[in-house]
Formats: sequence, C-alpha cells, structure tokens
Amino acid sequence: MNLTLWSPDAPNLHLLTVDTGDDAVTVRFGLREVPAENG
Amino acid sequence: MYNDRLPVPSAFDAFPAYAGKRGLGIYRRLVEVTAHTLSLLKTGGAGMSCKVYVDGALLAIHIGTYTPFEVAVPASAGGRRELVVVTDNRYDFERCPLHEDFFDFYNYGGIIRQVWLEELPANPVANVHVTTDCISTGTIQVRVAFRGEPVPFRHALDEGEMLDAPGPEFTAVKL
Repeated sequence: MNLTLWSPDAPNLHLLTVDTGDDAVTVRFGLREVPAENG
Repeated sequence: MYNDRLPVPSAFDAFPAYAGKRGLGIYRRLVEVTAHTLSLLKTGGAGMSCKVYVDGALLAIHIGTYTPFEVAVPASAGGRRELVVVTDNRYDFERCPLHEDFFDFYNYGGIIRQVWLEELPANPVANVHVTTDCISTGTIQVRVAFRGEPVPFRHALDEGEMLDAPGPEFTAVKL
C-alpha cells in the first residue's frame, strides 16, 4: 500500500477495513512526518 | 441484600435516601444471553471505583468515576446470567487517588453513565492498529488483534475492492 501523506493543505485521510466474514472493523488514519531537531 | 431499585445511570448518593452516604452501591441485573457467544460489558462511568462480576466471577476492577471501560465476558451455555457491579464511593487515597474529599466538586457513587452488554460476532476483531512503515514511500504496517485465535481476513483500502490474502504488512495476533 502506497498512501498519500496528510498535511494542513492536503489533509488526506485513509480508511482501512478488515473483514473476517463474521466481523468487520474500519479504522481511519493519516500519515504525517513530525520532525524534531536540535534537541 | 438487594433492598432498593434505582435507575441507571444515576448516582445513588444523589437520592434523598442515600444523600451523602459513603460506602458500597451494589447493582444487580439478570440478562438473557445467546449461547456460546462472547460479549462485552460496556460502561460509560462508575464511581468512584467498581468491581464487575458475572455469575459470581470477578472479571474486572476499574478505578475512576469518569472514564469509560469495557469488560470481556466469556461465553456461556446461554440463558440467564447475573451481572453485578459493586461501586464504592469511599475515599481511599491508595485505591482511588484521583478522588479526594474536599475537592472542587462532589464525588458521587454508583453507575453514573450508561451500561450495556454487547454480544460479539464469531471471531471478533478487537482492534486494528496502523503504524507508519516508511513516510517517504507512504507504506504502513497493520496489526490486527483478535479476541480469540486469529482467523483469515480480507481487507480494503479507502472503500475500494475487498482483497484476499493480506500481504506482509499485516500481522494478526491474539489480544
């Protein structure tokens, strides 16, 4: 899976569904890099 | 032992008969359940601490009035089951440090939020946890936790086609 990143200008979110046939769960998520520099 | 009936949700010490009382508020409910079915007892809040029993077996202890919690209730042969929630609004810093006397609000006791029993389907999925694998390529790792032994599953991204045979980015575990 290659997903687009989340940013304030392009707040891409994704839905992932897992389905066993008896039960299904969907989660929503986004990908964003949050760097920390100089301590 | 059970000598009164109170609505749930409510605080037992908000009723005139129990105003200002510190002690145990024991709630009992008989429910009919489906045989061989795992369920979750979900509670929005019970104060200030509580113990949850099903058919006499202690299943959980929860501390803190205002935090929701859920308790996995093992399957049974079906029929009637006894749910008991023992709430305790006595001050005890060791047991319940977030609730102290002379705080800036009154600390009530009892089941103060909704409580319900939710029967689960077969092979229930407990949760799906997504973590970033590589931010530059936008790849992820997915951990699927089951309440029992993991079973095969399909997946779909962004409401697209449901796909068989998840790839190596998926891990299935037993909760």
